[in-house]
Amino acid sequence: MNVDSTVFQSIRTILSGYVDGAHEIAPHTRIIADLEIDSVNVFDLIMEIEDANDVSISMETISTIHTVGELTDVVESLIRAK
Amino acid sequence: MMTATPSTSTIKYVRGAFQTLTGALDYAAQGVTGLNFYSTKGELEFVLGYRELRERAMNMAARLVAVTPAGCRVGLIADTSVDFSVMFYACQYAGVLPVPISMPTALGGRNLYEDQIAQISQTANLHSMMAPDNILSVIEEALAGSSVEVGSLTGTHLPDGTAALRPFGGDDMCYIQFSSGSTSTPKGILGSQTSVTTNCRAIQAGLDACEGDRIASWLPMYHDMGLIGQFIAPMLAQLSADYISPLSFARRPATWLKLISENRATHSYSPSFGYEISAKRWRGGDLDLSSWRVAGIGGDMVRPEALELFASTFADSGFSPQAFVPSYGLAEATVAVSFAPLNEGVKTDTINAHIMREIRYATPASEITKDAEKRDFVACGRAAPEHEIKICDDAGKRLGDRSVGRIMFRGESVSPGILDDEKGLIPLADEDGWLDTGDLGYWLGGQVVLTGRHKDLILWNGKNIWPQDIEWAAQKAGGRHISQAAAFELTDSDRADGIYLLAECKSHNDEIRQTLVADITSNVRQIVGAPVSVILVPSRSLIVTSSGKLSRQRTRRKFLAGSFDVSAGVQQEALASTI
Repeated sequence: MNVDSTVFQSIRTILSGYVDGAHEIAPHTRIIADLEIDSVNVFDLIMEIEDANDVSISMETISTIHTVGELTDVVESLIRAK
Repeated sequence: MMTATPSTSTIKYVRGAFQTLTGALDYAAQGVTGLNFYSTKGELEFVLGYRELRERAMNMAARLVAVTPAGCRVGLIADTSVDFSVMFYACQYAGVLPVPISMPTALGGRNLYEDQIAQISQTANLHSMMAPDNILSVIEEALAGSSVEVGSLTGTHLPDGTAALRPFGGDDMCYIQFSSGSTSTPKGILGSQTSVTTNCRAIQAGLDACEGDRIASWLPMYHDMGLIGQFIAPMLAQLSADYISPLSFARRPATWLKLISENRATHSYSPSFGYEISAKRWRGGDLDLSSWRVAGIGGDMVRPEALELFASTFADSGFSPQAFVPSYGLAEATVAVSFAPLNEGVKTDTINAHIMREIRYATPASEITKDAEKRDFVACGRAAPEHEIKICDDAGKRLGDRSVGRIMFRGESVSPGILDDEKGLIPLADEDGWLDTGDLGYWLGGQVVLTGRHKDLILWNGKNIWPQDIEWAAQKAGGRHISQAAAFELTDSDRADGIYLLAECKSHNDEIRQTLVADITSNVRQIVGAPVSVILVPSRSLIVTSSGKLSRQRTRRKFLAGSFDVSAGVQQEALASTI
């Protein structure tokens, strides 16, 4: 994936609102394991990303996403499929 | 336009008279009440009156009978839906045992979920499994290579059938509950028609369910509080219920309150954290919560501060703090064990935690008690109607007011047993019918006060976390370097409050040890979703019982006494380099 992509940038901005302190948010960053996002907040986060990009990420897909890069790829492919 | 089922049925209100679920549904179906399913935003999506539910369940049952032996076990992935509702009752009419199972967790949980599905299917000896279409492929993958047949919860894979139904009778089983127990070692608790209908009768009486009452719920259908309390108990009293999924609730908690307000719900339950996030995320708007008579709290330790926040946030919306009903329950007792008296709100007891730890007596805090030593506990009421509670010391002697001991429960709601790979079924009650809940508490003026759940269970932000899951995550991350691990919670000690994991580490290499701590920390967070302090300890230093079982409580005490050599690696490494 391309780190300059607008989707990645927007996800990074949204994510930074959920993270305490100075965490690096890169494509390889793991959302739960590295960013320490609370399991309840994860739903908020997903909703915000869905709303911002006007896509809907299925339950099955969500359970396979670990990193910021994987999340970006999923959102980008959903946008392309629209 | 679609209209939700009314709150009042057209038939005579009958409560507590049914011995089976099908008997109760046969009756409720003669009226006009039923179940209603709403979207995340609170739009009515599906209406399933009890009449239609019964008809569809019976049709589906005829098809199930054609392909399932009587009494076999069928896994149902329990999303909050019409399909799940129909299939659950179809199993009742077909005489096969439904086993409700959770949906996958969010982000990155797929591998763990697949392991869990495979585990449950083995423990429960499932004949087949049905899932919503959107996760069918996940289930198929999890069960690939097993003999379990996988199909859609819509039942489209089932053949047409006209076979005679095999409805469960009053002496038969009812379902298997898999919500308690850890993810890595799931616990299957059997429910019988007797235990389920008895507990529902106790719920209806204890919570004063009356004609015209209405239930609203976001609780998961795979959990006893959602399935029994908010799905089966209402049907057994012909009451209408409104549902949003747990996922919808997590996204928009306000939808839960909107349903209560618009449909004039009288009964709704949530753990403390549900009240808390509803208040924290509230952005204002018109709500009328004055119809809400029973705002039950269960599923975790009742946290008064979360409830105070909720009550103050919604005071202007007509919410009465008197409506709070702190409750205590567990799946081994079907669900409900005790309820606080209605219309009295939350009764808090502030005690001196230091004295309680020392002499197991809940001494009220006084002016000279330091703030750090004060703990608030909530009274959870008397035993549910038709049931008994006793609190005993380790020798089995009954304790009086304020002495802390084990909570025991007796009555027809107690589950017939827990599934076991080798023994088949392990009974839960002793010869006198008492269930040892494993929870600790004391009496306060006739009410039970819970001080701690199961001795090993860890409570973090309203979530129950099993130490086995943390230890399992540590061993997965640590591989061959970690021989054994023990997780426990520390509160009220000299160390920082939180979850600790002691892992026996075989390596003395500092670099490997540092990487291990980092890997284990992040894997535990991924799997259980909570922060854990990881500390490496020497091999064979954790305490095991004579039968070789890990003793977390004794390990915890050894840790608190400072008896672990936590710098072993560094020292031995230094020693090695001088030789």
